[in-house]
Amino acid sequence: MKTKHILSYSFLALALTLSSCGKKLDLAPHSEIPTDEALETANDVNNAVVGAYTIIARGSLYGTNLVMVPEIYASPGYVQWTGSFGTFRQIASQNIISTNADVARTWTDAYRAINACNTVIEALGVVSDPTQKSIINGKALFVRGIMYFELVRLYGLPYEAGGANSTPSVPIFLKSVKNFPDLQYGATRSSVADVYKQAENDLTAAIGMLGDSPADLYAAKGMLARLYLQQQDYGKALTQANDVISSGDYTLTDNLEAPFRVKNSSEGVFEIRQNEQSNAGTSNDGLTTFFASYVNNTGGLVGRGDLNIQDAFYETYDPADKRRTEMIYDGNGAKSGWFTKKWYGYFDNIPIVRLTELYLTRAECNVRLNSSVGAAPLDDINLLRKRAGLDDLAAVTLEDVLQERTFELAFEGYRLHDLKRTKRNIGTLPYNSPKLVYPVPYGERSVNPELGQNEGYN
Amino acid sequence: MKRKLLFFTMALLASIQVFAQNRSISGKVTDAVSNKPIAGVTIKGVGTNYAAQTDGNGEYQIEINQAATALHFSYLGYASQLVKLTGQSNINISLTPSAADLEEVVVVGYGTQVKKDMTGSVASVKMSDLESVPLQTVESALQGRASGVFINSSSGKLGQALQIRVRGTSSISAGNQPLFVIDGVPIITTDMGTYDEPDNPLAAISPDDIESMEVLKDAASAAIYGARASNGVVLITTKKGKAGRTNIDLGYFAGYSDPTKKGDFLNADQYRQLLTEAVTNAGYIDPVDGYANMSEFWEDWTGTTDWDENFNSNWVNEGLQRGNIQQISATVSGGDSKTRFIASGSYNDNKGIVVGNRFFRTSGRIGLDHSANNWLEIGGSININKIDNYRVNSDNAFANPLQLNALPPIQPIRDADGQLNRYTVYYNNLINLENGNNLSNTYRTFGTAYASARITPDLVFRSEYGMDFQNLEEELFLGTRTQDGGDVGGYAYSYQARSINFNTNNTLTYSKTFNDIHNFSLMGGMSYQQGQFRYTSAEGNGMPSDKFKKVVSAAIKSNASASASDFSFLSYLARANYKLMDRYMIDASVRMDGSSRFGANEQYGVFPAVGLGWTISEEDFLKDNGTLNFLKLRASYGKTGNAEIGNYRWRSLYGGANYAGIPGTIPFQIGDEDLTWETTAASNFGFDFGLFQDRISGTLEYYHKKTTDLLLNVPIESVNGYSSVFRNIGDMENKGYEITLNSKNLVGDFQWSTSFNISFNKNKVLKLNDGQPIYPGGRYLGRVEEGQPFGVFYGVAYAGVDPANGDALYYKDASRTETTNDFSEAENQHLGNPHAKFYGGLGNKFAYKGLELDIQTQFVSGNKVYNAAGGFQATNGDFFDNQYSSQMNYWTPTNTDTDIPQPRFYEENGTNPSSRYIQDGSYFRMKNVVLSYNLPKDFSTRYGMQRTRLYVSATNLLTFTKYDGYDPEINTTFAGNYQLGTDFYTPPQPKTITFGINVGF
Repeated sequence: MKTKHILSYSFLALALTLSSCGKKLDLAPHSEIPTDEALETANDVNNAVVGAYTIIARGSLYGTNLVMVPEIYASPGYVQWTGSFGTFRQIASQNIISTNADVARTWTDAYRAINACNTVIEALGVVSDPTQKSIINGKALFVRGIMYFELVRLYGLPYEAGGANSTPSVPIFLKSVKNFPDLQYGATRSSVADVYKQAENDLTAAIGMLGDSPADLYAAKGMLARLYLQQQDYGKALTQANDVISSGDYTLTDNLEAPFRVKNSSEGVFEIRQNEQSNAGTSNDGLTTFFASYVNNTGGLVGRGDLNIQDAFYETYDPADKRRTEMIYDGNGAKSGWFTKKWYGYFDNIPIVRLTELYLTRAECNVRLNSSVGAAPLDDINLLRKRAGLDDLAAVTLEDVLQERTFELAFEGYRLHDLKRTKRNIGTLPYNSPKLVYPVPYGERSVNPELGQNEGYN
Repeated sequence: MKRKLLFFTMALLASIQVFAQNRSISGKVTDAVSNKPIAGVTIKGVGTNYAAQTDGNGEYQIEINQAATALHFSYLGYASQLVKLTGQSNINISLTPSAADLEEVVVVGYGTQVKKDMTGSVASVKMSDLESVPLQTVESALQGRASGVFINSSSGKLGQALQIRVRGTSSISAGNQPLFVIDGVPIITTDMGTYDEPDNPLAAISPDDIESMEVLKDAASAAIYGARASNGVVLITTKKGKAGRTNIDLGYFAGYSDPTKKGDFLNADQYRQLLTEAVTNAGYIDPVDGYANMSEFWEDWTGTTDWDENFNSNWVNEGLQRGNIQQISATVSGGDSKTRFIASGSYNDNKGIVVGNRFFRTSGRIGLDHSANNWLEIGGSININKIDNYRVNSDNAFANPLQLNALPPIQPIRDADGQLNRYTVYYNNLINLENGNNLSNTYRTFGTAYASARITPDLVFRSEYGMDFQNLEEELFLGTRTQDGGDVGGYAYSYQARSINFNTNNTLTYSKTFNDIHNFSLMGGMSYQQGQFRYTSAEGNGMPSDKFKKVVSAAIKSNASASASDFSFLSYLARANYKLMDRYMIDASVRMDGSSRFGANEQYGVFPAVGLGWTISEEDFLKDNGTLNFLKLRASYGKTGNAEIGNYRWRSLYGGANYAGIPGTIPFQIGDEDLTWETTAASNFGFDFGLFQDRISGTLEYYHKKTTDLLLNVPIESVNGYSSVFRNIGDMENKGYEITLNSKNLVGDFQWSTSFNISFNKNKVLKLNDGQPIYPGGRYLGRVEEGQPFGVFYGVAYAGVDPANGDALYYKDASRTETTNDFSEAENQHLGNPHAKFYGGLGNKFAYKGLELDIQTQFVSGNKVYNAAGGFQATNGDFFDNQYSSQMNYWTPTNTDTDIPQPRFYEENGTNPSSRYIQDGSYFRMKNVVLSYNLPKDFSTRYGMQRTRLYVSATNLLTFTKYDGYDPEINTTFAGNYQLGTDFYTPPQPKTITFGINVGF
């Protein structure tokens, strides 16, 4: 009798428990959504292409490394790395080991961006509006193209005009990886020539699709001009550079600092957007973190001042050059020495292509080709000199143009690449020294030995 | 369907019996030696579930029925006794204090067992043995006292998680910490904070509230916890009230602590000498195209004129301090045979040895047990804790006070105005303390409730509900003088996280003895657990002034986030124990676990185990052996799982992204939909023995664990757009021996007892994805590779210095015959094992009258420690970092016989990660020494006290090691789980001396 009661109570308790546990093993995440649901509508696909830009804005790519590394890698007689980050020290002393974490993160994130683009391109079927579809496609190709261009310049030997360029650089990957079965194994490195070709094709195709989005169109043309110049294909570089200048969409700012302080300034052709909520970093990453050294108006020290400008380089500027007087300051923050004002605010946009580069490219190509497409090279150079507060030159040589390019684009990520393409020495190393080519990251090779290694690394 | 079937079967087992007439037996239980009454002895009617406890006078009364054949008397520390019932109504007995703990009742999963009858492997620690040890967290009690349990304190920071490995590391990418279960409720031990070094959720539990801890080490004991048992299970049992007089216990202790060691770094003169040598050798000083002198060089590189000043700062001392500790606690317990209660409260205040590190814990607890009638027991407890922890930054943060070691002694700590110097080559992080704060605040509540119904004398239904509620707040403020707050006009951060973990266990237990020789116990049940985690955070910068410290005042709200995640487990379990003639034991258990963490196709796993035991000493041929009074053989085999991989890993996901105000999405992770448990198959062989009436007792065990389908975060070619994916790939093995010996060397007035345990474990990774090793590289040397122990050090082998020119040399390959001065030409090779060959503890206890001395030591041997900061601290003046004073023995043309290369500023002469920075990490430590004195009883009673105890206790009193760094008992955690035995500006353990008093009323 009593036992029966106890039994019934016990089973009642059990039944209550069990009924409340039901089907509770299928829990969905709160912060993310399944990949298959992420690309269902036109808006989804557009979100995904914006996502690709957030990847290239990271410190591993344009947020820090793609701008700063070409500067410190070519530091002799130019800038001095006094920072404590061992990875950058190795790069500055041109003595990299294959486990260098900065070498690895650039590789990894570049392919992250490329996969994001590949995914967008394959998902375009759900975008019905042809204009929107074309723009999204163009942007994805643009990002993919510039990533291949950046990769081949860092992980491959310099492009030799007229050469075979058959040495391996990086793998080309054009299929999206969304779900587990999509994973690919055993990638092999394509030749320098093939990767340049891929980048060129992507940028050319992007240009064909971005007619309705001028800002993106000229960004692509600006980067394509740079790519052709790197290949020493001056005719094509000239055309692209001239297209951007003659579009009339861009004008030089009066103030030299404006392109770096004002977001989307009139001379910004392609900028990485940053603000307080999204930026490459304020303490251990980001351009301002490494390049700046000053005291702000509340008495705080801005920047680590890890990278100062050597006197030798500073002195090459004309004392009246505003690029010296206004754009270089005597650091009073964490370190003293000369520092550039280009990278001065954590939340500023990062100009990647400015109009000045295109003037310089046009001038250089015109000088080399002995032409005056768009304008005479002397006029282009004097335009920039004038803004810098300098007197006009009477005549211009290739040397003058290259010198002007150095002055104008200093600290913006050109130096290593410009020295290589013009076959000038970098410190004591010749332009094509294997020491000036990144190693294939150790981690990648341990997963895929097929990749092989660049000369001089283990 | 499956579960309905299961319960139907269980219902069948509950064969209904008719109750017989009840009768009552009473009596008194006394100590056989002292003749004093023993309170709290458990009396059980064998064959029934009737039970009672003795009161304060040792008296009891128990109701039984005719099914009862005998009464079983048991009490911790005494040999149990069985008295056959032949119609007595009064039974007085005396219990003999037991030397060995074989009669002990040990808590096991979903029940208890007499240790003597167990077939599995369980290490048990009674907290009463650690009464006077000022434990910071409860799990540290296991250190050196439980064989097979390796505990590394990781660092000397207060509130930091300990590294606990039960019988080796059995997983690579999934968690390796054991499952913690408090009074039947599995608790959340994953950290909730935002630091890249985990906080310690167990720190919220006051060690004073704990009765005992049992570590389930083999499959036979642990498999009942199925998918979460691979790393072992720690069962924590809290104190319960006992029938009898009301006891009031008060305790207080206070003391101080110092670092066990401080680093020996260069003074200003030595620093100048070394740096001058390095800079000169590197050719920076040159009248033509270099610097004229060091002063000029220094100013250009560091932007200060400190070279010409006269400072001699000891930065090491600035980062460390003398800490102090105090704790006050009170416990009231008592009750009668119907209701027992316990209430306790304690307050602990601990100032750490690292500047800025402080830990406060306030805790309170109430427990009640009530016998409602002769078939229903109900009870529960609630435990509320609060922690305020002023935390120390992650080891690799410039704000970690140990990183002050890197600052040059020639730079002043404060400037002329008395302000902390901001112009140091690395951040003077003392500013963070003066111009900021950093507080973590935890509230944690455990609540349990149970009801136990005796359906028939042999069948008990027990239902348990538990809740573990945890709330964490982090508040951070960095003012305008700090490195990370100054550049944005002040910075404030606020983080709120909440974890709710709900659990229920429902079991039916049937136990019966047939014909006096067949002991059966069957248990079946189910368990459901769900955990929920959510957080909200906000940060802002641009504060009006340093007087404003909260996000609300920030001009720019720079970031905000909120999200949640959850998991669930649904499990069914069953266990059978059978004992024949008190000597042959067979145990079997099975658990089926389902979890949200695994792919939809692979959500359920089954984990069976079986154990066999043979008490040889019960056999006739040994029964009356005077020397060998106890001998038992045990063997077990079973499977357990590991599910600690975080939630949602099997899914391919997209996450949100912000492109300066434009919303976007990015691929977040790629997942394998077949992802499921990793399985550990474990076998255990052991024998327990007792000699000379248990004067010497011990256990020897051998085990073998093989983990298959490892939950491996497999690195993939990042050309895929992802760098890793969680898969079930790979095998790993752990095997080893454990020896535990206890002896009563002297008994009588002067007592001396010794306990010793030693564990040998060998870990080997058997299989990885296509044989691909996992090697993050960079500054770290830990690697996962087939055929090698997990986390083996791998890299370039340092070969010393070329006597001819001071170049650092490396071995070209593993044959170590040829050397090279080109780091990139040197082949990577194995450089040592981070795992100990053996570890253990040795304890000696002496007692004379009221005086007691307890010395517990701990040892670890045969492991290597890698100082990842060596590339900064011992670089023969490669950069501005201050150096270990050993670097003064650098190569010069006249000092060629040295292994410190020629100083060359910025030229990386021997400074890349290599075996140069690997050392033997063996150590022997006087872990706890306690000297206590129990005041004579008549003295105490004169002042109305039952007992009074005074003691002095020392923790980490002495350490013997060859390791040159601060402390061999470290393991920096920020570098990831492959990096074992790695030191990176990791604070040492404190040496703590405390004085205390316990008073009982």
